[in-house]
Amino acid sequence: MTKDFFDPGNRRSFAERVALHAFDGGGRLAVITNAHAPTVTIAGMLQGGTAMVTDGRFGVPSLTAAMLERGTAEFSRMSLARELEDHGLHLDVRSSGSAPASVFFSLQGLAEELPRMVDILASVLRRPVFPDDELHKVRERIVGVLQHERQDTSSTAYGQLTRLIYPTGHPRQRREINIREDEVKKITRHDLEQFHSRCYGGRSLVCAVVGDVVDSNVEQLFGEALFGWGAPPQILPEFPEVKSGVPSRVDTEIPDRPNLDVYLGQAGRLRFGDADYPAAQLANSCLGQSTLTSRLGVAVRDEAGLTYGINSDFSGTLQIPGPWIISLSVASENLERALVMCREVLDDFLRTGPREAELNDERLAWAGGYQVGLATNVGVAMEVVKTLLAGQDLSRMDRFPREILEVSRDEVTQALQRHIDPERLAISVAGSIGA
Amino acid sequence: MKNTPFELVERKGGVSEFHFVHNGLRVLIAPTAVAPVATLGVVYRVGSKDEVAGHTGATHLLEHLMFKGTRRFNRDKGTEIARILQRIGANFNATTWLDRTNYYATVAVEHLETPADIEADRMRGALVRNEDLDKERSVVLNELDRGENEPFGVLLKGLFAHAYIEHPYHHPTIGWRGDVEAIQGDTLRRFYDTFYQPDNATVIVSGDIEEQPVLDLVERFFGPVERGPGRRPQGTIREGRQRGERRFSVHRAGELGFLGCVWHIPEGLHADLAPLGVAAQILSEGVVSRLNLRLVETNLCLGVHASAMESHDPGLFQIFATLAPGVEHADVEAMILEEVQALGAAVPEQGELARAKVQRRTDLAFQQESPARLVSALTEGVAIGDWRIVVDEMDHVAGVQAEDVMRVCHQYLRSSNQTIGWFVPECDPEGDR
Repeated sequence: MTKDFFDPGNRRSFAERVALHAFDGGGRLAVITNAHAPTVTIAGMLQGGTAMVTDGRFGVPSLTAAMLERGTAEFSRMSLARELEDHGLHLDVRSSGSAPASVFFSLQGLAEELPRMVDILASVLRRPVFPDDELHKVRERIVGVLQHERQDTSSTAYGQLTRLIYPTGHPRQRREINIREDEVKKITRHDLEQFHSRCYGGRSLVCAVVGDVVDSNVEQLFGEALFGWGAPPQILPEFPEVKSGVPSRVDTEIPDRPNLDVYLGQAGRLRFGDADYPAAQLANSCLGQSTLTSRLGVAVRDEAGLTYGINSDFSGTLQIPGPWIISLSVASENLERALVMCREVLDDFLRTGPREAELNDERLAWAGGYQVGLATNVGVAMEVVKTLLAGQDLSRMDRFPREILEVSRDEVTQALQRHIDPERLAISVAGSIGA
Repeated sequence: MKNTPFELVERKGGVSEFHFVHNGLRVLIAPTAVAPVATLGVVYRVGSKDEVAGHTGATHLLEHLMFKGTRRFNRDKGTEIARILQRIGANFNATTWLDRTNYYATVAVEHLETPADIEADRMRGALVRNEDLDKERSVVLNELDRGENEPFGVLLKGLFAHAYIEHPYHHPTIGWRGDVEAIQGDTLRRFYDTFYQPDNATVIVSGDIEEQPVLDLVERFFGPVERGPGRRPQGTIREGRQRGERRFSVHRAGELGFLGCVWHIPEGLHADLAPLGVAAQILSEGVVSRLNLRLVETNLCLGVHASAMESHDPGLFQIFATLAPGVEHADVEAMILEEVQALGAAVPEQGELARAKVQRRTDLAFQQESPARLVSALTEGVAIGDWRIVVDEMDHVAGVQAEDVMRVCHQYLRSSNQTIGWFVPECDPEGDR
C-alpha cells in the first residue's frame, strides 16, 4: 500500500481514494477529492481522434475538435468565450497527439465553478453546431498555422521522418503540408456533423475530476449532463502496415535556420500496458531519457559538446504505437559527427545492454519521478485518464513505482532487442544544412 | 553560535522569511500540503544585467557550468549533480534571466535533504574548470543557434537592443555570439566569486513541509557556507528617457511575419505595474480581449499577446503579433496602436476589469496548488526586489480601478516612448545584394 498523495496522514492506497463511476452508455468517470487548494481540474478523452476516420481525410477529426468551442446549441462563439473568461475558466479541446484515436479535453477553474464547468463541457462535447462563418475562420487559421510549420525545422524534420517510416493512410504519418492545406479547404460543415454524430458519445468517454469537490455532487452533475448520450460501438478502423525495407535519409534545406533539427527513428510497437512496457521504457531511459545523464547525452552533449539537447523516446504508446525516435539539435558543421556518435552509442548499447548501476539509477529516477509527477491535480487527472484509456485498473498507479524497481536487467535487455532495431533507423534533418 | 541562528524577518500570506545571521543567507518557507512533495530552490541576485561589455552571456554560461561539478558532486567521484538528483526522481533545472539565476528541484518530501546538500555545495564549491568550459561553450552556441531559428526570438532580441541603449537589458541573456565564443574561465570564476555568495542568495522551500525542520535543514547544509572574497558591485545603470519612436526590421527567410511593439514602463515593484498588468489582460487575454477580437477573430493574425514585464529595473510593456499569410505589417501595427491609444483615452468597461480580476484570482489559486509554481513565483519576487509582491498581488490587482488603467496607458504607452520591430519573411532575403 502506498502513501496517500493528498493526505500524508492517511494511509489509504490511491485506488481506494478514487471513486469510479460508469456513464450512461459505458464511459467512465473518476473522482478524486483534494481539498488542499480551491481548484478543480476536469480532464478526459473520447474516441473522436484522427485515427477514427475511414476515408483517409485525417483533417476532419482535428477540425471537428477545433470547432467544438466555436458554437453550440446553447452558446455562440462569443457567448461561450464570455462564459469561460468571466468566470476564470480555461477550456482546451483538441485531437490528441499521444492517443490518435482520441480527442482530449480539459477544463480548469475554481472549485465553486464546478456546476458551470460541467454544463459547458456537456454543451461543447454533445451539442456543437459548427457554424459556417466560424468554420471559414478556422480553415483560414489552420492554413496560416501550416505556413508557420513550413519554416519550423523540428516540425519539418519530424514530418519527413514519419513519411519515411509510415505508409500513406497510416494515422501516425504526418502528411505533406500542401496535402493537408488542400484537404482542410474542402472540409464542409456536413463532414464535421457526420463525424461528430458517428464518433462522439458517452460510450468512449473517460474523464477524471480532481480537486476540492464532493464525489456524490460530481457524479450527480455528470449524470445529469451526460444522460442519454450514447454512441454507436467504436471500432478502430484498420490502417496500412508500417513500411519495411531499407531505411533512408531525407535532408530538407530551410534557409536562415542555423540550428538543424535531426530525427533518427523507426516505427514503434510499444503500448502502454504491455507486459514489457516498464522494461522497454527503462531501456530507453538508459539510452536517452535525460540529455544530462543518459548515454546519448553524456556522449554527444556532455563529452563532445555537439548539441544543446539530445533525447530518445517512444513517441506515443496509447492506442496506436508511435515511432521510437532519437532527436537532437546541432550546427551544420557538427551534423555528420553527431550522427556517427549517435550510431556508435546506440550500437554499443544494443551490444552490451545496460550496466546494472545505470539501470538502477533509471529505475529509481522513474519510480521517484512518477510520484513527483502526481503532485498536482492536473498531473493526477492525466495519469488517471491514461490508465483508464489503456484499459488498466487504477490500482496500477499504486503498484507501478514498485513494479519499476523490480524490473530485471535481463528483462530490459530483452525488451531493448525486441523494440529497437538499428537496421531500421531512418534519418531526417531540417535546417540550413549547407550553411 | 546562537541557539537560534535565524532572525524572523516577516510572515505574510503563508510565507515566512528568515535571515541566517552568520552568513547573510535569506530563507523563504511556504508550506502547502497538496501532495507529499516539496520544491527547494535557490535564487541568486545575478542576471544578465550584471554583465559588462565583452562578457555578455557569462551568467548563463556559468549556470551551465554549475552542473559540471562541485567539490563534492562531480563525475570523477561518481556523484554528478544531475545523476544524484535523478536517483531520487527529482524534477530539476536551472534558469537564467535578466535579474537572477535560479536552481530548483521538486522531490518527495523525504528526499529534501539531497537538493539542500547539492545547492549548499554549489554555492561556494563549484569547480568552474577550463576543460568543462570548452565543451559547454559549444553546447551554449547550439542553444544560441536554436534561438536564431525562431523569428519571435530574433524579434525579441532586436526589441530589447533598440529599446535599451545604456541599460544592460540591452543585450540578450544568452549573450552576444562573439562574447560567448571568447569568454575565458578566469572571467567566469571572478563572476562566480562575486555573485555566488550566501548574502546574495535566497533559499526558497515550499510543499508538504513544516517550518522548524526546514530551518534545521538549512542550518545544517547552508550554515557552514562562508562568504567568499567577492563583493557585489554597488550602483545601477539607468536608461535615459526615450524621446522619440524607434523602429527596425529584420528581413529573413520565412513564411510568416511577426511584429512587436514595446514601451518603457517602471520597475516591477512600482504601483503602476498592477494596472499595466490589467491593461495587458484587457488587450490580449482570451477570445473577447480587444486585440484578439480585432486581429485574431478577424484572421488578420494567428495570435497576439500583451504583457507588462516585471523586472528589477524599469521594464517594457510588450505586444507581439503573428501575422496571417498575406497580411501587411503596417495594417496590423496601425490596429495595435489604435487599440492601445483607445485604452489610454477612455476608461475600460467594468466587465473588462472584472474579467481580468477573476482570471488573475484563478491563476493565483492554481499557483497555490503546486509547490513548484509557488517557488517559481517567489523566485521572481526576490529577483525584482521583494517576495511580498507575490502574496500582495491579488490585493494589488483587486485595487485597480478603471481610471488607473486609462491613466497608465496614457502615461506610458505613448509614441515617443515606443519601439517597433518587424520580422519580414522573404523568399530570398539576400537576393538584392
